[in-house]
Amino acid sequence: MSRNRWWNSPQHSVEDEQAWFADTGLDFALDEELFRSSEVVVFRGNLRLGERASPASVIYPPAYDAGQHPLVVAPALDVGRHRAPNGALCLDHPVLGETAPMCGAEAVERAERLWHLWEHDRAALHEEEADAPDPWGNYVEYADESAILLALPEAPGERGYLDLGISSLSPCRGSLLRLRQTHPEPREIAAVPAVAELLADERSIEGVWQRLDAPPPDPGLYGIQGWLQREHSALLKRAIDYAGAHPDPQMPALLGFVFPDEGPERGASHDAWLFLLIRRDDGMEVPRPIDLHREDAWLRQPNLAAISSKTVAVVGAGALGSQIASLLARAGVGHFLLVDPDVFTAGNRVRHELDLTDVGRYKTAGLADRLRRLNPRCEVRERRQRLGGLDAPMLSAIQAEDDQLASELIGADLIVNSSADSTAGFHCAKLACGTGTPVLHAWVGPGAWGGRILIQRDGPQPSGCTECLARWQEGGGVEIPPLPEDPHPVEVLEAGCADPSFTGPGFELTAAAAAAVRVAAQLLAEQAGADYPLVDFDLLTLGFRAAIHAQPESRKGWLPVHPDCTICSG
Amino acid sequence: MPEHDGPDKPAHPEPPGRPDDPGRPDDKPPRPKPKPKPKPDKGRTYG
Repeated sequence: MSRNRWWNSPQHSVEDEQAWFADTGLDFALDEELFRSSEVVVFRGNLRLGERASPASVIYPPAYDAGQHPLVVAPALDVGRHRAPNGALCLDHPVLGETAPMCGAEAVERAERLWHLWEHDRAALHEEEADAPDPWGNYVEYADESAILLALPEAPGERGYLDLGISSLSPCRGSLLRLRQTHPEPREIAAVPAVAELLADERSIEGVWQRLDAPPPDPGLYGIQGWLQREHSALLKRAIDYAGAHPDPQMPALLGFVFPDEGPERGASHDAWLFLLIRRDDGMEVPRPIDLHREDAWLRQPNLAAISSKTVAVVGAGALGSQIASLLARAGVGHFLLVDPDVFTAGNRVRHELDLTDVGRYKTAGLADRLRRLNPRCEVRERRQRLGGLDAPMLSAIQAEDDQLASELIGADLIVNSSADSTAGFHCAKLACGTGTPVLHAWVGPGAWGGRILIQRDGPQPSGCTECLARWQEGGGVEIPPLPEDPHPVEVLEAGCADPSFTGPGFELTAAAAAAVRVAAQLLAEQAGADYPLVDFDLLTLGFRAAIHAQPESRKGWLPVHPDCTICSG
Repeated sequence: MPEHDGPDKPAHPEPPGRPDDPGRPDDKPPRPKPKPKPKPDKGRTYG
């Protein structure tokens, strides 16, 4: 993997960083041992303000050459909320500069400037941040098992409502996990093609079952009761005994009947199930069973059956990525890798596939559940990290974790880059160069007035990447249709240095997601030899609305590799 | 008059040599810093 290191590229080196520190008179030195053992670049030294010093580390992300700037971590430095709980200083403050720092020395200069302003001109910081929310005050360390604790202000007279979403209690569902046969001979039946909605939690439920020669005469509750008592009284008594033996008096027993029924195709026959919940007092409910056959999805889209073996990696599980992943799951894709470091917030729900029951969860966790509900047989893996970023628990693990994620991404049949983070897109493009793994980049413009789908493919005539597109746009040579965009765009900053979002309706995102999924299905179907039209373009430019109309339109074209592209040139 | 009230002294002195003066020796030419990658659609992209 070393060829993919930023310090191995023609544009960058560790020696350059050392020289920049020396040129600017900063006393920072490379942590040689960490660099040798883990290939992680960290410079250590002291921030200085007059005669005072504060120890700091400059940590370089794996995607440094893609535009992610180094973090300056100064655990002992007091700059108020401009230091995150992990010690990283906020260097994206507007008063410190318009663009992100571009080398370690510049990041340290900004950190010292931040310290100076905090000590001597705090008003300058405060004026700039007057409209910005507190970056860290609203943060909660989220984990699957964590409870939500809210510290409310104690000012007298204040009151309001709180909405708490608890996803683990919904929906009402259960799975038939195990089936044992006792007659005519004992045996375990492993695969049970049935998922039944049973209880309002996920407790296991036990009971008895029996095969019938024909369907029950009347599926209605009262007809079933009379039929049971007439023809299956012994089985009913056993089910009541099962319920009576359970330590929870409210827990019913399960009584199941399996019988031949017509379907799924006309004239064919399959096993159907009738489930009954039997309580110890002889009370009875008829839950709604769902027979879930692998073939069900393909009956309605037989030309896509072959893509069930395909793996799609989705980098960025936001408004666009979540809708793309859900549509791909409906189309039958069988394996997913979801990559996103963020937590789902209430404001996300206007455009995201998730809803209020998922607030506070990692987007990958909520989306994984969503995909499994759409297709219980799909396999979903989650990676809660920023591609090329610094989310590893230990410094020594930064590069190793990014390498692991990179190998998983390259192992996919298709990478969908739906991240709002352009550096993640550059990193995706770089990983895929020369590997044969196609990347589908999808994004929308300000206000979601338009969007683009860019397919980056290897081959005899490889297509360009996002940097190629930017260079063709800057220098000309290839006609690139303009991206329709809101002339008066407004950005939304949810918290601190989070990636800014935009104002625009969710249904425009849905149009972009549908276009991206259509292209993804074409690419996957081509790989699998399925019957679906091939993709005859590299770049699709979509328009959803303009100032005086809102009609969908699209333009397609080819995007060759740009000769000056630093990604495609290796 | 106390020294710190003198008319020539700024109210909040900059730290010597930083950050306005990077302290680079005069005989060294400034080293070019890495350029940011050009972003498609001028970086105004959302997902």
